[in-house]
Amino acid sequence: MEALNNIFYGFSISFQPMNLLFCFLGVLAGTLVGVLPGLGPPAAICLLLPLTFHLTPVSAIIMLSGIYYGAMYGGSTTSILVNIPGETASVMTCLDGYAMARQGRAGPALGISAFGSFIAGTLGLVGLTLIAAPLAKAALKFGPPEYFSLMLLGFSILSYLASGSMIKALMMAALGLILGAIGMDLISGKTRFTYGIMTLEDGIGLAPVVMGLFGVSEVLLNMEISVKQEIFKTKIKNLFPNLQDWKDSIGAISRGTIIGFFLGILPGGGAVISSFASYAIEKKISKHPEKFGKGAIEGVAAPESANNAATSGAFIPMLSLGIPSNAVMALLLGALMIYGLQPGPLLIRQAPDLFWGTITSMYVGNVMLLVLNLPLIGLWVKILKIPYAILFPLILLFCLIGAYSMNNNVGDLIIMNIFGIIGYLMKKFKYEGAPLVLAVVLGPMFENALRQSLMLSHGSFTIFVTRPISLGFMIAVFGILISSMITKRRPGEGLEE
Amino acid sequence: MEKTTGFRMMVVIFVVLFFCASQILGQEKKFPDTAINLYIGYPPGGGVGNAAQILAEGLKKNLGQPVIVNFKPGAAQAIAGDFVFKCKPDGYSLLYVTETDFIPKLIKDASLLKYSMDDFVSLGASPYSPYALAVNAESPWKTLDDLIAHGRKSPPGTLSYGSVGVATTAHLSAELFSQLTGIALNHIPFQGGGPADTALMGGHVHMCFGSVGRFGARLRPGGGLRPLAILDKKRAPDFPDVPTMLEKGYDMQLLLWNGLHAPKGLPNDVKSILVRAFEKTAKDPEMISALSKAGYYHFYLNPEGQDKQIQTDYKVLKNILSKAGLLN
Amino acid sequence: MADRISGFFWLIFSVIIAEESYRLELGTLHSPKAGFLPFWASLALGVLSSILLLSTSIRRQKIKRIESIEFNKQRLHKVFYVLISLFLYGLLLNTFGFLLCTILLIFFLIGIVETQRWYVVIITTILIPFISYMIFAVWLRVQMPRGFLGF
Repeated sequence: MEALNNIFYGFSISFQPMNLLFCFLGVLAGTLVGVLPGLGPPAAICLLLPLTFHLTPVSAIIMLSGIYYGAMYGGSTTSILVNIPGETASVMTCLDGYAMARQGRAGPALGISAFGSFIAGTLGLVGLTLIAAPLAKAALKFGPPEYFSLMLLGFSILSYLASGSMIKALMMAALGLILGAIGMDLISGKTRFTYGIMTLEDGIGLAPVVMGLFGVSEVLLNMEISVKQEIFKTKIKNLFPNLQDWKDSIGAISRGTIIGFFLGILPGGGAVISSFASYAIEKKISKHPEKFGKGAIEGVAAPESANNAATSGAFIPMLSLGIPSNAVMALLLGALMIYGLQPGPLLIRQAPDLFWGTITSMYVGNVMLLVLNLPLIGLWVKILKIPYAILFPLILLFCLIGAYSMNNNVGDLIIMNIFGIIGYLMKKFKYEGAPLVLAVVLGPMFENALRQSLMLSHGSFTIFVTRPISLGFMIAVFGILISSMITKRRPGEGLEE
Repeated sequence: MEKTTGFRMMVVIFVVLFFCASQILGQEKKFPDTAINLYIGYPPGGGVGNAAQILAEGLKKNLGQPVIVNFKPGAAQAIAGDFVFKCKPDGYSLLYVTETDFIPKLIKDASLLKYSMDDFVSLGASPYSPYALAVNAESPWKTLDDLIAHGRKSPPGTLSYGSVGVATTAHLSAELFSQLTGIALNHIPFQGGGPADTALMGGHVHMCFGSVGRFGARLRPGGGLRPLAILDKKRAPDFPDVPTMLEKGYDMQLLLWNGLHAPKGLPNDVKSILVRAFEKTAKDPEMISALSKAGYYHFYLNPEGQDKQIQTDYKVLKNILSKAGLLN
Repeated sequence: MADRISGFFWLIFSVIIAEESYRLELGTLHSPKAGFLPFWASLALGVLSSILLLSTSIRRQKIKRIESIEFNKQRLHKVFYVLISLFLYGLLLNTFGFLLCTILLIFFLIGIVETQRWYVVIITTILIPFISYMIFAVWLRVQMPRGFLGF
């Protein structure tokens, strides 16, 4: 059993004291950075990179990887506590997580998020260990037509996300498509809707948008409530998820893991899309979908599991093919290159100690994170007890710093503020943020894939159905459309709130 | 009771402020006496970022002060350029760019930018990575001639190539290739090196131009790609079997090279300190070996050489841009 | 009523965007250009907002529910204050520098928007900016802007 041998070999490396230490430092730094909105793993990795020059490549990669998935654990904390996504992948967690916090159930939300992340991360790693190579090859088969069909599928499940008026959700999706188009058009090189502002040339970043839409707007809304009133129920009921919570969540966690893992493998896929997809699917198959958005624990378990599974999945193209799926992977890739290692099909042969040592240390890291995060729940919950009058300036300040520090650009800050107003007005006029964010994420990829495919096929649309994978997704899209038309709508649904 | 607490508070505040002020005001004037900021126009993890991190370590030794790499990505290095353009020319804010991507941007969007190349002072250039033409390792074309023959036989636009965006050097090299060989190519832009290489490795596009540094191990046997030609005067040390475009009769020499700049108005004594330090760093054998592991080969141009090369590239790239109809 | 206002707003917005997209060149279905996606998206937005507007008049007749936007008029000015301070922070950050801006922001939010006792104001105005400076600028080495005062 070669796999078993490799795993033992890997553990022999990751259990070396130095590597354990660096693993711990990495996940600790990652958690802290994940909690801070806006600042993400890239910032922490850049910071610690020069430090790692003096380490062996194995230790360095162990630490840097730890930062990445540590951040996924930490990102959910602020989503639940103050409705600010610490990572863009934690946006969906805000919906039900924050609602739970306001009901005094922040503890169980944080708990199920930690456990779900652990289970999903670990299972994702198992997948990584066993089927990395064939999956990577399969991922290569995804060209522009496949991405287009997949994005189309993503849009079709958008309808599941809407809790309120479908018309308004669709309007937000259309708006999201428009917002996603801001910036330089990839294919023609023309700048769209930038009006000479350089910051907009690369588009409006997703992070300032979600921080404004969810975080800042929430503070603005709370300003209207007299602070003598409770924003958060101060009587916090139990700190951990109870048996019922577990029973409800276990399905969500498993489904989220699978969705997250496979979507994470696709270059360009990733944690954000998987968290949306798992939330939407969970809501669709739930027996009580109306509870979603108001504090359903599955609404926390599903996206959190998905985004952690996706981080494990994202390592596959990086380690096996040398192709980074996102900015963090690109950094790790760069780090590997600085150490003189070339990720790709040759990496396993060139540096087996690095490959297997890193993978096994990720198992170790996940355990460390679980152990780290559980006691912290009590601490985080206490933070909610700070009087809101003092808490809200802190929240705002962290948002401002977070938005600025991403690119050292004041423009991002201003974008966040603008979306803060938009989010505030949206909540007043009863529009939802989730379809908007989904459209902003999917829109550019959808459009690029469409145009790239049409350029490849010289204008023919048959390219989407002649290729097997693409055909499969298209069939799924039709299936969903037909099923939603057949399903009997409850009377009054659709136009009403 | 409250009055004394308030008074004590005031005292504390004043002491703290005074302390801060004295730190700021009481500084000596020898360059460099504090950390230097190096600004990069791409997000971390890219080739420039890696080269910069390595060089920063070396510069630290030669300047005696930490050199901090700052990322200001966006608008194909224009945002970083704009930022350094607005900085004081005191030698503490430097710009490290990939010249071959910066120059087309300056040409194409000259009307939109508040600055041009003349607003910067050159401090030296190093390292470089030559561009290569790569195809999928499983494709039927084993040499450049095979590819060109196939292209000439097929209807125009059959051969597709991936690029990392419009007006990037990857795109422009392909345009030049198309102009020189007379083959009409189908240009498919991608969102970056990762997606472009994935598409090439998956067989969705036929070929791709990119720097040896970016392709990395993928160009080696077993890596998934096959290099057909190098766009340099001489063959690449890592790929001695791959001919250069020049050998094959096509005058295509495009290198990805990085250069250091400071805002105009830099005092001469500061300039010479920086130029000397950068030269020493670039020629340091340890640096050379670290950079070559990251895919960058050694070369060094002093400021005059750098300016001359910028002029040459400017002409070549402007030519390609105008023939491709991309000038605004 | 609320839906009327928002529906109307989005309708106007979609028309503007459609016009801008048209200028960007639409291309055809087989060869979409830069303006293609935004144009059709804005068209969809326009159609949907029209439906929304129509539905408000239909609903009026069927269901007698008064829909009003809930604004707490007494505290609305606080929302404005906070908003203004957020925008000013962004605009002044590069000129004043991180530390000074943050001090001003915290002072404003804690001292004026939600007035606390004066010693709370002083303590937080000192502690919070300095501690965040320590965390972000020194420890995490985020490049915080320096203002005209040099820090």
